[in-house]
Amino acid sequence: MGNEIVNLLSLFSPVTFLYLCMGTFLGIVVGALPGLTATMAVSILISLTYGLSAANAIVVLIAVYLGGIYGGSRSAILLNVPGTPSSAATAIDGFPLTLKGEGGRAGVVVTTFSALGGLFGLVILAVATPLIARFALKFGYWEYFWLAMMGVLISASITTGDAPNYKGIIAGFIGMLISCIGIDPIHGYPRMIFGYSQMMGGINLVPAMIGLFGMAEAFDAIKNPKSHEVMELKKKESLPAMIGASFKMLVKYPRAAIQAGLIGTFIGALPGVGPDIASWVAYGTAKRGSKHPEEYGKGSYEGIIASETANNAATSGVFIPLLTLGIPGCAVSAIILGGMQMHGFRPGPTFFFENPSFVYFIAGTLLLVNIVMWLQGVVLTSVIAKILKAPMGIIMPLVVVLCVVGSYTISLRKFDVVVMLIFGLFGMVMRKLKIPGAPMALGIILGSMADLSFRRGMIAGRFSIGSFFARPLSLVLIGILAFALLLPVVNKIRDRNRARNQNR
Amino acid sequence: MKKRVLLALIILACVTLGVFAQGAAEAKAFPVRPLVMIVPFNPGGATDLLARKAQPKMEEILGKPIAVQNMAGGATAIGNQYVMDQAHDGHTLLAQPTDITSIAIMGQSKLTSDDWAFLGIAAAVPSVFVVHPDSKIKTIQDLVAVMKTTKLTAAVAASGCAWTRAIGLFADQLKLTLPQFVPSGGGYTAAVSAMKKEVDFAACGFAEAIELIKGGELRALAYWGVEPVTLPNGTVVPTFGSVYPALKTFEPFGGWVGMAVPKGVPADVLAKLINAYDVAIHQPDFIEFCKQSSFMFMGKIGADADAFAKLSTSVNAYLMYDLGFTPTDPATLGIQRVK
Amino acid sequence: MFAFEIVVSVLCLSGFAFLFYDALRMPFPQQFWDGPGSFPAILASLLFVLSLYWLITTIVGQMRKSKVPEAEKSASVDTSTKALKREEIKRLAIIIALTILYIMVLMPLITFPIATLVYLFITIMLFTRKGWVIPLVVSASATLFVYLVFNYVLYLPMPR
Repeated sequence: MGNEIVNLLSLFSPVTFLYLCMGTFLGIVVGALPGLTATMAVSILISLTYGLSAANAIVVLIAVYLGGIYGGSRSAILLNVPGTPSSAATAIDGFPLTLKGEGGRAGVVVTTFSALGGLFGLVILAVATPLIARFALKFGYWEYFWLAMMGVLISASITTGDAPNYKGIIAGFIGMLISCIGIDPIHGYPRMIFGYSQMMGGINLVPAMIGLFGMAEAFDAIKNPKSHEVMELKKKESLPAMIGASFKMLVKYPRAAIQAGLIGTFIGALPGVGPDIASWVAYGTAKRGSKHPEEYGKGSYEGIIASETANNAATSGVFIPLLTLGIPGCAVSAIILGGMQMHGFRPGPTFFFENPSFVYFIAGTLLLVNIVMWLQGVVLTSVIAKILKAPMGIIMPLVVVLCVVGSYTISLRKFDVVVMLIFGLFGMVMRKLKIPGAPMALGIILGSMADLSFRRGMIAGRFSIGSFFARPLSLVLIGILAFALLLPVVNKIRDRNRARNQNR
Repeated sequence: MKKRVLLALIILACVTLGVFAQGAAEAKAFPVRPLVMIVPFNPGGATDLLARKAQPKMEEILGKPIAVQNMAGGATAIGNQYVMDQAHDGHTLLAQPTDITSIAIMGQSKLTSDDWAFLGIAAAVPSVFVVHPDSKIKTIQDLVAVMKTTKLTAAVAASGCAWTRAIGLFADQLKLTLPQFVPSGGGYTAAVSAMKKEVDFAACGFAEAIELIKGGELRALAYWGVEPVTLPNGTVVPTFGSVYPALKTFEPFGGWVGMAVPKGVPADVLAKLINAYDVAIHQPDFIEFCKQSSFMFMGKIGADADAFAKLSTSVNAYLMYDLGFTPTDPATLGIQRVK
Repeated sequence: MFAFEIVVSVLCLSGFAFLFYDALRMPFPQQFWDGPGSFPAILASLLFVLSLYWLITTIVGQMRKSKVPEAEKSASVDTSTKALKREEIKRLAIIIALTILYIMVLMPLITFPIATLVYLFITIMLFTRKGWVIPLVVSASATLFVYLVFNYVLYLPMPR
């Protein structure tokens, strides 16, 4: 195999540990900066880590990935700008907490639950890897189609808040339509480009997301700085107290945390899905099962716990198909897989059994990174909170510049910067109309999955629409989808009837 | 207070100076600034791996850093166009896969291999046909027998991709029914489709499926390489030519990966780049990497590679036209038929 | 607000009708269902129905609201909030105009680092009103940082 022996012992070298700490820190910083995403950090770093030894290079890539997914939650909570797509669900409840003056505490809570989520996923990875990898392969084109629809519609039904549901669905479908722009990967026909050759490659998710969340929020905050004014607490909470409080949450919301861990790990293990959707599904599930669903959107700790536990559990989950079958679970893990291959490690079905020491090494890395991430995250809390003290007039112009840099470095095209700007203006209009941005972002992420799975399913099912309703797993997913969409309606009718009965 | 102002002014001056100094330094000796290597696919694919493997040595020879940047989209058309639009001074390189032979004829781009000066073509990725181990199709003969009568479903990477052409050539030569193609987005995902039993069989790059084949998750029927391969468990993967001698003339058939700059780069710059690529891909560890990953090392350099790309363009374009994958006659694009 | 919703929903309505037509025009090699236009056509038709619903509910909602006596409506909006609103709109217009200027005009004209410096300096000065020292220090150091990262860490060309 590789030119170098990599096993658990490699982790005990001080140099490797230093790389691990630096990688985690870099990941957190890049993830927390609005506009710069984990995907970008890992894809840029892969060139820079080539010169390192195999163990160090893989450690850095994993550390940046995990740190980045976690770091995104910090700016989601403090600035209402999700640092990475996977923390968009965290912003819904995290930012209201900041406005209440509990931003520091929320930061410690998500740090703890991100780490716990990662560790939870790791435990499942250790116990049930071959089982889950096998089960994930049962998802065919038909199931992927329903899964994509589920992701978009669930986020549409939970993010609209006071506004009517149909606006979220409109946003989600528009996002899916946007993802169809560009050369169709099946027949090579350019769709909806209207003679503009730059659009052949389609609308990249990252600039669109940065525009919708980062740019629009920057405009909003400058327009009305008061909307970002943080309430001062009379009594400052000390760091140990916040840590204690975060662990108490585990006792308070065990169901949400465990559910989110399971959902996150499994969705992470599905090839090509990843943490972005895991956090939404977990958030939706937690809200439905919650005793206080009315707190969601107004600063519910349960909500941020669900989404952050799930997205970091998913970072462990993506390693399940990666290590057992050599199939990456999401875009970032595909890059990490490339990094492993470049250093002579080719994960595949036999790899898992032939190189147990390498697998232990990955597991050990995941364990250490989660612990280091927790420590760094907790220490950074006060530092990051200080940044908040700076006036929005300084922070937000910097966010604009970061948005420009972040959307450009994804593929060095000015076009992407313009796309980002247009989506920023789009985002402002949508806010005015009370149309949520999150379903649109999710639509752009999952739209091509829905489109391609639909058409591949059609071809492979020999053009019968019945193939989408014939498989048992499809039916299960349709059932969950119907339940999720109809439950709010049923609840509303029940409430109305109850109110009427009481009036009588 | 005054000190701070002074400091700020100094920083401002430094930045401004730095920017202009960079512009002024655009002088003779190549390379004057870091290079950018564009990979027109996502990270982790064959094109990406081979480009990144060559990069460190090229960096060392040229004496300037080379940043590798992925720019996926439009079946490489986006990356092709980007590099073509940059200054033709040799500072922007393109990892050039086989798709350059098909994007023009598929209407995705106006660029053909004639627009590029190849530094070289490092390796070929021969195509392999795989089925699920439980499939009733056990050998390539079984597949031929079934395809004579029924229209199967076959996973490939994209419409008109190298793996589609492999099936097309196979069906055309042996007079079989063309299967229903299911484009899966990549050779690797095509292999996984067969593994999930979503399709009857799949065509993909041998290197892309090798680990799954070794692990018994997929059965390889035959591949378009030059000589049969014996797997660790003792089974032999035959070449198409060894079973059907009529197919021998086409081997190796599949995709290839090279490196190119736009035509019009000054000759001395091109010579330097070609030399760097030449040395980089002939490093023992590069060749060893190809072997381990089941890429077929080709090592064609400069004009050799240009000629090969031209030939490959002609063969592929006419194959796709003849099989009806595209209505565009290659002759209208200035591609001549080779016999 | 009402007028805005009507305008946007009518725009959506016509936009989706056009996209539906556009999707149907796309060629399909074998059947409509695997052709490039099938999924966009489905989405566009669903979106058409949804925006129609949007338009109707907005109009119905407005009609219901207009039955509310005039006195109640005018009482809810006093002069101070109006002034605040005007101030907000002014700020928003300025930041959007400056950002468009920065990305579309300044960046190609005077290179990315200088454009960034100018943009940051002006916006921070305008929106913090803290003199010019802090804006200058912040904008200069941020620009320097971005410049160094591009040139000495990433080795990538800067946006134009």
